[in-house]
Amino acid sequence: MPVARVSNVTKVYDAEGEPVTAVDGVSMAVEPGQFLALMGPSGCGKSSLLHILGAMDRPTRGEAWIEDTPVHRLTEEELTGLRRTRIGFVFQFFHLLPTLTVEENVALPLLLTNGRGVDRRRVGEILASMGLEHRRASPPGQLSGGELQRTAIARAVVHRPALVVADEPTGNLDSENGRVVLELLAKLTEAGTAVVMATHSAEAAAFAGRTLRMKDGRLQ
Amino acid sequence: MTFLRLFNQAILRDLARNPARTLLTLSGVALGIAVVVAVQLSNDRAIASFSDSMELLNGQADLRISANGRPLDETLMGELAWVWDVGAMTAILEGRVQRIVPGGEAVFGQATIRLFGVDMLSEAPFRTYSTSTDSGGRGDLGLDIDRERFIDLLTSPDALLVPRVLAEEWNASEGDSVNLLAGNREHELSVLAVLNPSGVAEAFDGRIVFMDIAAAQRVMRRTGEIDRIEVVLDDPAMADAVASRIADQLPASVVVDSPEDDAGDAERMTRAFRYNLTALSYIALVVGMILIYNTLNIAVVRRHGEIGALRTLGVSRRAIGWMFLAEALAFGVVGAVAGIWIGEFLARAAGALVSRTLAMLYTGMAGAGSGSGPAPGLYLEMILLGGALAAVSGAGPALRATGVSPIETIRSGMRPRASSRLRPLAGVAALALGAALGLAPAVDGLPVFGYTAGVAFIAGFSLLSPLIIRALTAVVRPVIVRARPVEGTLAVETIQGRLPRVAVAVISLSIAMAMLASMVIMVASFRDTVVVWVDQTLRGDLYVRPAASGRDGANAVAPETLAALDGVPGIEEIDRYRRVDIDYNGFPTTLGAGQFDVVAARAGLQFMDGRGTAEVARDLIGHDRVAVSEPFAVRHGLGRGDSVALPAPEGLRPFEIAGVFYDYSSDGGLVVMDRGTYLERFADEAVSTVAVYLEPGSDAEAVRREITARLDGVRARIATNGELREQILRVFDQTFEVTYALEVVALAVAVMGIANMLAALILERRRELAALRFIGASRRQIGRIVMIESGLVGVLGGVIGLLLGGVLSLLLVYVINFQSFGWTIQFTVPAGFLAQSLAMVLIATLAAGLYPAALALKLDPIEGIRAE
Repeated sequence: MPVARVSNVTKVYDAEGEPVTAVDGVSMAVEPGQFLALMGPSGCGKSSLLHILGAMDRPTRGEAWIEDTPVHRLTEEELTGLRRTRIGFVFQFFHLLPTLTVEENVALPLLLTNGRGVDRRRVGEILASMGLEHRRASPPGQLSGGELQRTAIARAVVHRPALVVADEPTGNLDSENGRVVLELLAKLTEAGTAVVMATHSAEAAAFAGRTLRMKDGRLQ
Repeated sequence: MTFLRLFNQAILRDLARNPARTLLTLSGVALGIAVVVAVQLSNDRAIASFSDSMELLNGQADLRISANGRPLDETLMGELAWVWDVGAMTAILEGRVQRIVPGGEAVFGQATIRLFGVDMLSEAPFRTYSTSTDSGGRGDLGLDIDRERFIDLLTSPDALLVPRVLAEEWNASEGDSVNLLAGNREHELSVLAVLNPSGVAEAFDGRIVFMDIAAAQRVMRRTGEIDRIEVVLDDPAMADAVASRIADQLPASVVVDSPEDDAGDAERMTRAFRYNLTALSYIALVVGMILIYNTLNIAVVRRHGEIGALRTLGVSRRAIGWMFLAEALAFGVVGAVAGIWIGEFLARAAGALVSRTLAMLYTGMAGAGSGSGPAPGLYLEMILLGGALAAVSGAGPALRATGVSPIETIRSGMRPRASSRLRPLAGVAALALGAALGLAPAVDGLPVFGYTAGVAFIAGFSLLSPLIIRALTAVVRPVIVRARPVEGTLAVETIQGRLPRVAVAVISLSIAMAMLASMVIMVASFRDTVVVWVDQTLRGDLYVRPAASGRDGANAVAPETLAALDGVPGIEEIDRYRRVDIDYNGFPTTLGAGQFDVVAARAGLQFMDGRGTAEVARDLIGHDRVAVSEPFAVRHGLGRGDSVALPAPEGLRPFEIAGVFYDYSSDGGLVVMDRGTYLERFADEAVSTVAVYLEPGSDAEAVRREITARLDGVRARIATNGELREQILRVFDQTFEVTYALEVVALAVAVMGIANMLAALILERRRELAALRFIGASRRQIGRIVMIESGLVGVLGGVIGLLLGGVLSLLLVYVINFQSFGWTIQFTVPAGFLAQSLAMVLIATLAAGLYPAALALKLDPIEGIRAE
């Protein structure tokens, strides 16, 4: 069963009274362990499609599924629950909480899921696998760009999601750090996690096993 | 020009983009200014109204002859006949009356009306009266009243001149009868003319009636007595010479002075009260200014990148600094203008409270607060003050804005500024300074160093607040996290991670809370002290007082009433107490005389040196000795063994101070002696109050009925111990209504600050909150996080406020109050009331969190993530 699939989805936004179609009749599926790159110019609808795939948004028309859950029929609360357990996000600008330490940032999804019972061993493992053990107690303000994004990836996978959605994860990194991040994302798929990455960069897309191109809201 | 354009583009547009926060800040400043304006206007108008009234009543007089609280014999006018050669002279008799329905009783709490008895034949050079009907000019008698009615006024024993405002209140027209309580009897008097609201009819807001002096003497039952003689000189330059000739001719107890001193008296006797009120009103302003600081600080941090961009484009550091300073100024000036407008409205409400309190405590006459014309001087002062304080508040953030480096890039939002290590040290130093200042003496009777110590304590706590917040948060963290593991953790982390910014909001709330707490403690301590004092001094079972008494004690208990007390079954003993208002070294003072043999056995004055009343009474009875109240001793720097010179009929007479007792009846000061000594030295047999002690088992109500039945047409007010006690405490509670109203406004401003700060934190964290939503936090959780933050700020502000309030209350009780009024107050902590205040603050801050929480709930996470 695909981890995520969309069937003829369309997303229309309201831009100051004018409807703007960001995604236009797209159908696709992401299989477990697949590393999929979505490429296309700015404004082509990659992020909008990514948000629907990541259960962050519902399509205006069409169907979207995460495994066997129909995203297009869920309430906002149910979408939140789905993201909390099945999906991880990595952003271009990291979006770590500046008042939390690296360890606390990484543990956040577990805290949101389990409340009191955060599995500290799991957090430790992830930090070790991302090479961040020595940064465990540091606030994000003291980290390098590469360290920030590795922390963000650790946060995205700590709760063992089925799908990691990454929006321009290397857009704010130098090439060396970008390469490390892409290798880490690729490594996630070895354990069966699917990764969907939106990117402008052909170099980044080269790390993915499959690349889809978008233009004007449609897959090419 | 460039600066203005830049200011418009970078500052004004940003303010317009954030209307809610701009409005919150402006409202805070406006409210702060409004409170100061309202208090200032109320104070000024109350005093101006009293002074104007005195001026109107004193008329054109150049000199005034009086006997320092005691009546003059009207034959004195004959002895001074020579004065007619150098000017004109008139006699005045004043009293208090109260309007009643025919056969009715005086209503407690209803203000008395001043009765002004004048010699109509010699009034012309002194005052002007204008009647409601046009009589075709003033006429040769100098009164704008027709000759026929003027003759009526002179000959009719019941003719009254009533100002229009009072006539309208009484619904009385010319020719109508009104029933007044005067001289312990009910009189049916006739309104001869209604006076236009000009001249004397404007005095005391028209709450005054005029009679010919002979008629006034009759209704006041003071035949042959006058209160003063006024003199108008043909050549005012001769005033000193005439005054000394009069003084030489009359007994030394007679005082010849200029009526101009009256305004100064009102100013002087109410000064401490007004200064304390003004100092309190500034608290709301300070809290408003902290709001400006907070708003600007947030703006500078939020627009770090923008400032960097402007610097890159070549805008100088100085221009950046000026832009933010101009923003602060704009807040200050616009807030001040709005505040003046609101203050005028508040002044009407506060004005009534202030003037009532001043009347109750000092001037004795209600009806101040008229003359509410605009006060351009004060408005300008407030705009300048608003601007200046805003500039001071904005200086820090503006300076910080100049420090933004154009090269610096911000990586993960705004980083909180590390707090300086010197801060805690400066905080401790400020506290030490506060303690030292608290020990300094008063300056010219005002606790100037006390106020300064208050400011130092506030500064000390402000500087130490990040440390205290960190410590307190660490204490409450486990509780919050246990209750709400997810939202609690995130909320606590936000508070701790953004300490400098949160601290500003917390400290503004703590200042408001501290002022409330310290006032609550001070008032409760004061009230408890008064209750104990009342218990010890008010031991009579019944108190018999004149039918319509004012504060000056001019009205005495009727001799018939005193006679009626004789032989009433159930009465064991009575204490006749006389009080007259005198002037002692320029301060209004009460001279009292009681029967110390009774007082010693029954009531207990608390003497400061711990001696019992009986012991001191032995020193007083039969000697030229007095006991003085603590405020009197403090104000004049006197103590046991010192001598006071009191205005006896034959002139100033020295009395030795036998003891100083605690007294809370007025801050004017009280000098008491034994009634025997008073009768001997002052030849005044009048009685102001009779304390009646009943035989054990007697029924106070039955005795009261019996006394009333014996009065036979004479009127008196007879209160039971419980009723009098209730009246005293009611007056006490009313006194502090104004202060509580001020505190509530200061708290409201602080709560606005919290809403502002939290809203700013939400906007600043919108990317973080959006990220939280992406990784699985629900809307409800986000809302809860904000509400927990809000509650936590409330708890922190409340607790720090209580700590600071505790320190300030010590200052209020032991320094400010003592130095202002001379009262020793026993310190008590009203724990229940404080807990209620804390709960109220917590509820208010939670309410303040609703707006930012709604803001957080409305955030679109996708938009939030995009907003780079």
